[in-house]
Amino acid sequence: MPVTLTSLDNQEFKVDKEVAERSILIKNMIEDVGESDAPIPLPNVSAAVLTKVIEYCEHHRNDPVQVQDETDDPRKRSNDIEEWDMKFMQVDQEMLFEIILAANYLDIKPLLDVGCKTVANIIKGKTPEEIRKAFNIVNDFTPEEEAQIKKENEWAEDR
Amino acid sequence: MAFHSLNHLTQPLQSFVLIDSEASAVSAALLTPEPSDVISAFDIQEPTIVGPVISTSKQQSIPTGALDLPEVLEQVFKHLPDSDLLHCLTVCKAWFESSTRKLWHSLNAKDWSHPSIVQSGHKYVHYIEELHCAPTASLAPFTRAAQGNLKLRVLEPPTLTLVNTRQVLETVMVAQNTIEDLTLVFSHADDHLHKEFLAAISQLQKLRSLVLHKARAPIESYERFLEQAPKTLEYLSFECCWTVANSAQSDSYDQQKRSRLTPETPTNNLKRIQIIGPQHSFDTVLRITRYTPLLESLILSDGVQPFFDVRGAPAADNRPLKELKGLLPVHCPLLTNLTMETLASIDALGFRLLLEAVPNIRSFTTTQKDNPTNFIMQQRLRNYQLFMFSNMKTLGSVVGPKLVSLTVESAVVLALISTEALTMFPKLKYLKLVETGIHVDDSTVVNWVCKDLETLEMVAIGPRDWTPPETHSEWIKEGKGMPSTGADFVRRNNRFQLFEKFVAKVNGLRKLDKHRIEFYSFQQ
Repeated sequence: MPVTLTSLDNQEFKVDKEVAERSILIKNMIEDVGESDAPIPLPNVSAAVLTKVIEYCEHHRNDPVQVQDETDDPRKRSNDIEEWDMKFMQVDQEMLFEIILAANYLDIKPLLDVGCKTVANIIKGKTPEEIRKAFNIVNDFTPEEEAQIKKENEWAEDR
Repeated sequence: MAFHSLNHLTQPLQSFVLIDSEASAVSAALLTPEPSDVISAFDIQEPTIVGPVISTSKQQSIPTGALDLPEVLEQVFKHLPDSDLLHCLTVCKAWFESSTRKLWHSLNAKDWSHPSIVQSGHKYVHYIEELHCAPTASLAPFTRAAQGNLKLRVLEPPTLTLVNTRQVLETVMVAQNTIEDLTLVFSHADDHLHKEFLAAISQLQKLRSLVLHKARAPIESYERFLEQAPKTLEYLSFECCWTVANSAQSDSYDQQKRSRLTPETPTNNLKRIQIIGPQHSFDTVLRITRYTPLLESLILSDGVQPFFDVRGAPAADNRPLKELKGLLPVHCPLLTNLTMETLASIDALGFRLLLEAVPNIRSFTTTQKDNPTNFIMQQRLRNYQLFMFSNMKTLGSVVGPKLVSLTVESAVVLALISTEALTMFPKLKYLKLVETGIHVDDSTVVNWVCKDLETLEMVAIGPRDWTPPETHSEWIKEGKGMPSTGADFVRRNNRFQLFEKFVAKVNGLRKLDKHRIEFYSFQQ
């Protein structure tokens, strides 16, 4: 049974219910409203982003729900992005952040996770200044503050 | 030219030199006191950056908004090693908060012996939630400054000598106003030291939860401890003293102290106790509970050696249980929750006595680490099943009408379903069934839950190692995302049918709020 989703810019998307329900937000909406033909408005997601999100959900429509494995060493995990997901995430940074925001809003944990791993991979190996550059972040520390924080956290360097 | 030089800005230390010689305007910008001006000046002049492409025209609207959300930032930092988290610390103030929280969340002994922590660790102490330490260094820099809510885990070092055990003692003393949650793991320390430890722990003024692993102190030490335990203490878990208490002591206790088996004046506020030990630990239960008049939950657990005789043979002596039946209701009138780790190997009479010792029981939990595939169990499978089945019946017939909450974990589910026990819980409101490996007859479960348990308000059901997917018809049909072995497929497939039927049935139940149905799995 198809479900209609309406994006921020009023475009309509028809998707299978089970694809749409990869989003916990939508799933709960459908549950609350019951069977209905009325389109589901997603005022926080633009058509371009929604297209991407649906592409992801289509590809992963048959995935079993991920069991959150807290015992797994999370530090190793940013390297284990699936090949398809890796390609899927090869977008410009604007789109990357849009996807993360949408995944967060729509409550699609695996997508949020892949997005955050991708961001983590951008951060990896970069100096603070390189990180600021990469994400257009303004440094609101004074050089003295920066030096002090560095000194106070020296212990973690050889952890 | 400008582009060329600005590209070097990605290496911050060099950038000063390079730009200084080329563009005085930029170097002037660098000297301005507000760092924000510096960055924006660069941004405007630089058309592209290294990495993902951002077009110049859209630069003002880049939704780094995603990284402004602390929960997203936290997700990102989850995937970073410490070496990168260190760099994130100084990116900006917002990042500092999230990365510090991650970096300082949990510290080990090596961390806090580092000079940088000794010097300034106190500034970060409110970010620390867990200290894992071997007793080799002083905790003083943290614990003096800590505001509370500290979880301290002092773990067993490779070799525990008298010297560093003393250090643990000192540590505990220094931190006495801080520690709320203390776990101590020991093995070979002598009785004398355990007494000292228990005396030291009595001084902890904020202690709420205490776990003592392998601390086989004499029972008398625990009794003394309970007499002067911190008022804040609500939970105690300990391994009982079967290696220490000998039968002579036990006998003399019987004869001499019988008169003392009346409720002591409440000196502590203990609500939950876990006692780990072999079957004759019922002696321990009997003695310890004299000091816990406010006890609500009693957890009997196997630990290293089974609390109950795994061979499934009847316990030789039900004497402590007989006494328990008479005295536990007097010692602990508020006791309503009983948890038994192993149900299969206590004999029917012993189990009945135990249940009768908790006349106000409202909640019963049995967890079962072992299922019959365990090698010990397999050898004794017949006895195991026999005991399990008969004890589920006993549970139903002795306390069934009293129970409001029932949690049955593991293979025992099968016994529950396969006996008439399942019709014996007319007042049940909360039900959790967690099975570990045995396929449950789905229609029986569903029929039972729906027909016989109309009082249910909350149900949780599921195997330990599996979570139902949100959408499952396709999953079954195509076998996608399936585990690789055929056996798994069949097993999981069966569970699926159970799940679907269950949901369908449960949705028809009026009293059950569907939002309170929880399908879950236990992480191994």
